[in-house]
Parts: sequence; C-alpha cells; structure tokens
Amino acid sequence: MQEPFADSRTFWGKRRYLLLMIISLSIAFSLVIISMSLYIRSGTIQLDLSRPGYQRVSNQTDPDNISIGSYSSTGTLDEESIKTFEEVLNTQIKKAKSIDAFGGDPLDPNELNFYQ
Amino acid sequence: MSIQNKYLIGIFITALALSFGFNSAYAQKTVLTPDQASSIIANCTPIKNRLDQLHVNDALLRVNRGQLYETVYSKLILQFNKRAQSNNYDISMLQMTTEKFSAQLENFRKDYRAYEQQLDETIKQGCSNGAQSFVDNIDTAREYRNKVYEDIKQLNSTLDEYSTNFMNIKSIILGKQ
Repeated sequence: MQEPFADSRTFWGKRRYLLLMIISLSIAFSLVIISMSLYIRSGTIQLDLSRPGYQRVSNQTDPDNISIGSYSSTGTLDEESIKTFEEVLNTQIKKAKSIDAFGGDPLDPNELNFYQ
Repeated sequence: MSIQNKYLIGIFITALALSFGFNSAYAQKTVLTPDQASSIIANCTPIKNRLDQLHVNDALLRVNRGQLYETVYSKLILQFNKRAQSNNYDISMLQMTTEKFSAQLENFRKDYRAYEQQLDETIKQGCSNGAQSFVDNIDTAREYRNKVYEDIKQLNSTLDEYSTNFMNIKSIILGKQ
C-alpha cells in the first residue's frame, strides 16, 4: 500500500530548480557561442578597436567619416541640390585620395630588417 | 602497348610536368640561406614587434577607409541615384558605376579579412616553426596586403568614374532648366 504523503514526482520533477538553471545556462552558453562565431566569422572583430592591444589607436578614428549627413533621396533636382551633392562628393573623393592607404611595402624583408 | 596508348601516356606525362613547372613558378618564395635563417631567428622578437605595430596601424586604416567608402556609397551615391531616378533621368551609367563600386567594396572587405587573418597567424606562429616558415607566412601576408592596396586603388578610380558620370548627368539636368 502506498504511503499517504509519499512523493510521487519523477527524478527531474524533484529537481525543477536545478533543471531550470541547467536549461538557462545551456541557452545562454549556446547564444554566446553563436554570437562569438558571428562576431569572428563576419569580420566584425577586425573592425573592433576596443580589443586589447588596439585601444591606443581607437581614439584616432575619423568621426567625420560617419557624421556627414545623408543626401536626400527625394525632391527635385535643381541647381542648388546638384551643387550641394557635388561639393560633398568632391570633398569625400579628395579625402579618399589624400593618403596612400595600404601603399608602400612594410612587409618587404628590407623594411622589416630581416638580415641585420 | 599500341602507338595510340604510348601517345596518350606521353601527353599525360608532358601535362603533368608542365603543371609542376607552373606550380613551382607561382609558389616561388624567398629561400633562405643558413646565415639568413639564423639572423631571422636572432631578430625574431623585434620583427614580431614591427609586425604587431603594422597589425594595429592597418586595423585603424581599415576602419577609417572602410567608413569613408561605406558612407560615400550609402549616404551619397545610392541616395543621389534614387533621387535622379525618381526625377526620370537616365541613370544607367551611374547605376553601372555604382554596382562596380559595390562589388569592389565587397572585395576590399574580403581581401582585408584574408590579409588580417594571415598577418595574425604569422604573428602568433612567429619563429616557432623555423625561420623559413616565418618568412613564407610574411610573404603570403605581403601578397594579400598588395591585393588590399589594389582594391583601394580600384575604389578611388571608380569614385572618379562616378564623378565623371555625375558631371555628364549634371550638364543634362542643368541644360533642361
């Protein structure tokens, strides 16, 4: 005969809080793995200057690059609006060409002083 | 063995020899003398430090250049094209240059990623696998960096092309008014 106050719950039924914690931690852990792999595989990591070792240059990013206002995609095209666009476009082109980005050959053996 | 079979084997051997020849010509890398190898091992730490410095500087360059091109593309070029199109102007030339720019921007992202990963791996490995392996890794990184440089030159050239096309459409627009 069954005892009147016998606990009839299953093994996991008795450990519901433990189960909740295990499931929560597993979900959190999986999400961290997914987000980290996206962060690395998408190349975002390479644009993240807050990583250790990059902080000393993180304040040297050019805020003007992202602060230029968006040219309106609606409205008529008159002399004034053409002139505005032309000015901003020319400024940006000039800026793009102002430095010889990735030019030079810093990985040349002589530049790296291989055989000193 | 028939003459035909001998002929086929001859062709196969020639093709194989040629392919090895081409492969070795493309895979030509700096081959170190024992003196050079020992010099690199002795200078390994300063060389790695210089690579580290380059790694950081190039990351900053990538961020600044990337932002500049992305901004020009999304905030100026695409917007102007839409506006000109909505005003019923023929923007086929602008559209073509824009697509070219977009493809080049994607190449720039992809090539920089490959270069950065190669340089990172080179720095991590250092001289642990010997001087020759270190130099080979640097040679590959150098090749990848040159690709990034080519991408930048192409992007700048396409911006010039867009500017020329813009001037053409500008004269049409202002001529109508």
